[in-house]
Amino acid sequence: MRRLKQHRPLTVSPTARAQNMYSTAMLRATQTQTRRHVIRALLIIACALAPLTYTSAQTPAKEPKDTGVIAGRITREGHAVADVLVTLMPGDWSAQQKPVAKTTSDADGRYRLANVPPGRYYLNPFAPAYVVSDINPADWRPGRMLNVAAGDKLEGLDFTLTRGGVITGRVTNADGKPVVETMVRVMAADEADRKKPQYSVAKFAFQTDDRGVYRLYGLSVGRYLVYIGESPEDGMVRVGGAGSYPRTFYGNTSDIAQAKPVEVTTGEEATAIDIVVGKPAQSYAVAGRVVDERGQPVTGASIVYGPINAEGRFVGSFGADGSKTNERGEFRLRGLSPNRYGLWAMEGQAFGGEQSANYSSAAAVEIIEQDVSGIEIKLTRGATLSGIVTVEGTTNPTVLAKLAELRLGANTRGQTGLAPPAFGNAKVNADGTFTLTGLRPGKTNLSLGWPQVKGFSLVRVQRDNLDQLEGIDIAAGERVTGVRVIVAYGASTVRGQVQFPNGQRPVGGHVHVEAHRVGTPVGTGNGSAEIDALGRFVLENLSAGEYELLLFADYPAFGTEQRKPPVDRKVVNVPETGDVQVTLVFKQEPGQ
Amino acid sequence: MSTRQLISALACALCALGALASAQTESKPQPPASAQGEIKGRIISDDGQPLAGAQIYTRSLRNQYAGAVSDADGKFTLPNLERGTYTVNAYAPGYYDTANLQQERALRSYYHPGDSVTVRMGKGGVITGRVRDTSGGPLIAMRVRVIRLRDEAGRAPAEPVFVFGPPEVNTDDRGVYRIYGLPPGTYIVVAGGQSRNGFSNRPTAYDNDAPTFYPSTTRDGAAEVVVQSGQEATDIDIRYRGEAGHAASGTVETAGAALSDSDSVSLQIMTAGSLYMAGYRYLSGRESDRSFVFDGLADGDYDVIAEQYGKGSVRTTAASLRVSVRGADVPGLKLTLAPLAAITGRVVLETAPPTASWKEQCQSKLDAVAGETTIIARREQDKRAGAAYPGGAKLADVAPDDKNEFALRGLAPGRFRLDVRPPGPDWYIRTAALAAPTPAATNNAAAKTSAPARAANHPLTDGLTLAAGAQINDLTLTFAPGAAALHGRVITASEGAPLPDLQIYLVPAEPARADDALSYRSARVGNDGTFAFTQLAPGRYHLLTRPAQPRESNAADALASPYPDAQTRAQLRRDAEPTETLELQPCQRLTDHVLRLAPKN
Repeated sequence: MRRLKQHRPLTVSPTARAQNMYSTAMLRATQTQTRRHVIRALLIIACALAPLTYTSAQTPAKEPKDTGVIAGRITREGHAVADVLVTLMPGDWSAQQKPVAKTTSDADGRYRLANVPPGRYYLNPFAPAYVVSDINPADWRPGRMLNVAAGDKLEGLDFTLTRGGVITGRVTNADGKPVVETMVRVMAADEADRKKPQYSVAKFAFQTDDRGVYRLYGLSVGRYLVYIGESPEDGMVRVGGAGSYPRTFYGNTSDIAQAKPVEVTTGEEATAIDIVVGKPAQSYAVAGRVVDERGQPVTGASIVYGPINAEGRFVGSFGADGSKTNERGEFRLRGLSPNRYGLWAMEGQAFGGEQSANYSSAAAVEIIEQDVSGIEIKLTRGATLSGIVTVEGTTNPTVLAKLAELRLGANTRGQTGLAPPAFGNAKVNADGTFTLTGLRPGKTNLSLGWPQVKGFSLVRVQRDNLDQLEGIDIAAGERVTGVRVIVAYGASTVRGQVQFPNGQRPVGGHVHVEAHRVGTPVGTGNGSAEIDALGRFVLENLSAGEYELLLFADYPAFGTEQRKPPVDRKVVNVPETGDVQVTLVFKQEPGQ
Repeated sequence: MSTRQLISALACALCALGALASAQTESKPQPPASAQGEIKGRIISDDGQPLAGAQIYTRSLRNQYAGAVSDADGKFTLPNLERGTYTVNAYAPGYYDTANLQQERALRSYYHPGDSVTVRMGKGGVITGRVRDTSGGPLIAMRVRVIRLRDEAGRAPAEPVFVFGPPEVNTDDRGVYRIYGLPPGTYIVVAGGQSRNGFSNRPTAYDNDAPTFYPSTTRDGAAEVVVQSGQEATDIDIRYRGEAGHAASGTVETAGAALSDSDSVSLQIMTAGSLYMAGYRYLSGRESDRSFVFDGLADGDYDVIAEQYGKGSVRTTAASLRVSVRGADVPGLKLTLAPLAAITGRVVLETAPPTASWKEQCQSKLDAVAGETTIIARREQDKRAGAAYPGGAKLADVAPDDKNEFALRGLAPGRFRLDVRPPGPDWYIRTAALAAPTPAATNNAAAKTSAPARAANHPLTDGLTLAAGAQINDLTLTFAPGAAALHGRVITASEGAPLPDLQIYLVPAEPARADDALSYRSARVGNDGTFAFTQLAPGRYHLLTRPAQPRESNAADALASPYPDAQTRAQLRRDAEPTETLELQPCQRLTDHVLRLAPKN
């Protein structure tokens, strides 16, 4: 008999262990026939008794045609692993954060999830100390993404487990005191591309404790750079508080080229990976005021800020500390690490999602070694744009009733210098009318704003019965009226298959497809979809028309706008109803 | 322990602010132009050493936030603060803020710009151990939580604490967990159960199990773990039972208007009569689905509490329901949100006569603004058995706006005590009066029937009973300058005799003030015989002592009202008649007053 390496030997009887099988997540490889029979028998009983097991591990006699089946086997070093929980999590971020279905692998390592409603899911075995094949544990929602269609039989979704390695050590400061509650991260020590930022691959514990001790586990075999602290390149925004430690690698250096790589081998511990840090980076304050067009102070405005690059583009996340300008329009942001920042003002609550009558200027600030003051941010009364939204090709009252759920966003191009991103959007009234306010002058593109309402897509925007393909020209303070926004409501689906070179989907990267109506700019929100673990994708709720599909190998880095060109493109004709099948080819560019 | 960290993601920052702002008034216009000030302070550990790098947060009662970091000497400055009332909290990993503990007992301190603050941080204790299954194997990535039942003096918190609640950690690949920074006290430890954050996008194999309490039992059998400051409780090993839990599910409904986008609903399920939160859910206003499921519940009684938050993170409506789980799922629960109660009113600051010569005696320039007043409402513990724990704020604090108006909104039904803090040391509260309620203001029958009783009761000395959704309007609080203070010591008649446990009272001596409830004061005499009365109306007083009531084993005595009730006042008046009086001039600080107990015979 063979079993996974335990930290202490198991000496319990088979029966005692079997009784416990549903309550633990230990991985056991069972080899003997007798054991297999005992466990299978118990499994059937357990399935009958346990209402929490959504789908039985046994094959049902009949399978409904309107759902799908997902099945596979879990092995370790070629041997079956029993009792592994396999969960299917919903793919939509807004959905309830709980599994749609789950089951446990049987004595032969096999699992089967039947009656899976069509949809997008993440399939993941729960094996926290293990490396699971083709799953990046650092993903927001780890698992293999799958599109399940009615009648699908997705079998052979096998997982291999490898006992993960451990990196453990202690972080102390120059005085030998523990550095408590600091994040310890690792990045692959890829000699060729050491600058590529990567997120932590640690799964659960990655902070130092009160002794400064950390322990990263479940790591795949490889060489890692272990580090703490932050670098301005991270693009992170700190909201007030203490200065962070400057990035310090194992080897006690801030220079990535000098960092000492740590070798991780299967199931082994790399111990005493200790890091000694210097002083925390000093943090600074930025002070200034917000004024209106007449130079009068604006009270109650929130200041939003984010790091910018040397070209004056926002390159990371945005932050706000919750404070508002006082009656003299003054603000003071504290706790900013040395970096370049762009600041702008939002009236009322930051990111409140409400429209404002004004638009804000953005101020660029560089913090080097001291506080910055005297920053002025101006709010200017913006143009307004009003009109009506009409739904093309339907008189269905249920669809028309959804008009009031729509929101319209406006994005103005053609500004010079640093400009704050557009956040506010306008609610569409039940009769279809809308008014966008606070618009800055320039070419303005309208889009369906967040939250998106399923099925609706923007077809075209007209002013004076003329299509505005390049956007609407808006002069300073203009009151644009009579704009027609034509949207379509669709129920058609494009189902695609991506062919990868050698049939292998690249692991780790995100491959996605974007659809836009022919004749409208890319990225106007007709849909995008991630390519799943089987190379498939689904674009739903499209209305009839001609669409171009673009296949991208990765998302552009946030805020850069510079994305790699698509690796494939294809025009498809979407009918009024029904599905379209399409095949895209992942073309690896030479030298890439 | 992500909530303890400096939060950098924007969404999280907004959530955190929303949570901190839970007991606030609606946003109001800014105060009139006025000088800004700063709050300075020092962070020291309980052994007196300065703590460098600690994070300090201040929140004004008008929702202004600011932060600072302590320097190498533990010093910090919170600059450019508007005039108003502020709370100050500190965070240093591995330590606990003793002010947070006071907060837990609803004894928060408030500060004004110009004040100096000393924040004492205690070195936290540690609970560590392993979680194993019944066959001894380590359980990995298992949630472990601690619940603080009592403080080191054996007092239970007045209310379950959520925002500053117990930390939650996961076991590592050896099944080891370690929870640190714990304030001293008595704890229970639980493995498994739902995340206190309400969600996890990484499901575990334990999510439907009922939690196992240390050492290997249910909530009722949980063994207590005593944690001392800076000490480790080791080998707190849990043998995980892995018993299937049950689910309680249902929907949240609104009685009146539909929920809007800016509304959100938080749902908690608490073990009835206990501090264990068995689950938390957050429904954002944009989600149309108003259903909830709490998994992994052990058999027992629970209270499901729903609270709706509107604009400005103010609680508007709430509902609660007692649920009994007995070996099966409990579906179909329906929580109907009903309006919460509110107390609104205004503050009047009287001015000193221009000719008053005593003004020179005062500590301050007597230029306080109404916004520096603090009005705190605390709900008294409901000792009735069987009633579900209600939703709504049980503790709310507010400062008046620039129209001198204040509103305590989102209050749970129950009996509230008002704790009113004058705007400065030279101010005292002169009157607290409720206007007769208008029929329009009382929109429910219960509030109407209590109206005559309210007129007879004094809002500060007798408390306010709020029916569900009751609106108490027009509470006028009048403050006057020239407050006096009296510090002293009680000594026994014969030297060396033990000092009994005493309550000390101030009784106004002038007949004109006999019926002035706010001129009577009560305080507990310290073990060393010292006592202190501050922010007193000037005038003549009798000073007398009575044997104190035995200390209650919970927070009640710490929250005792400084104002004797009507019955006590009448008795005190009679008893005080033959005793000597002392006179306190406006702004006088009388220190070292000695009260010798009459010899017993």
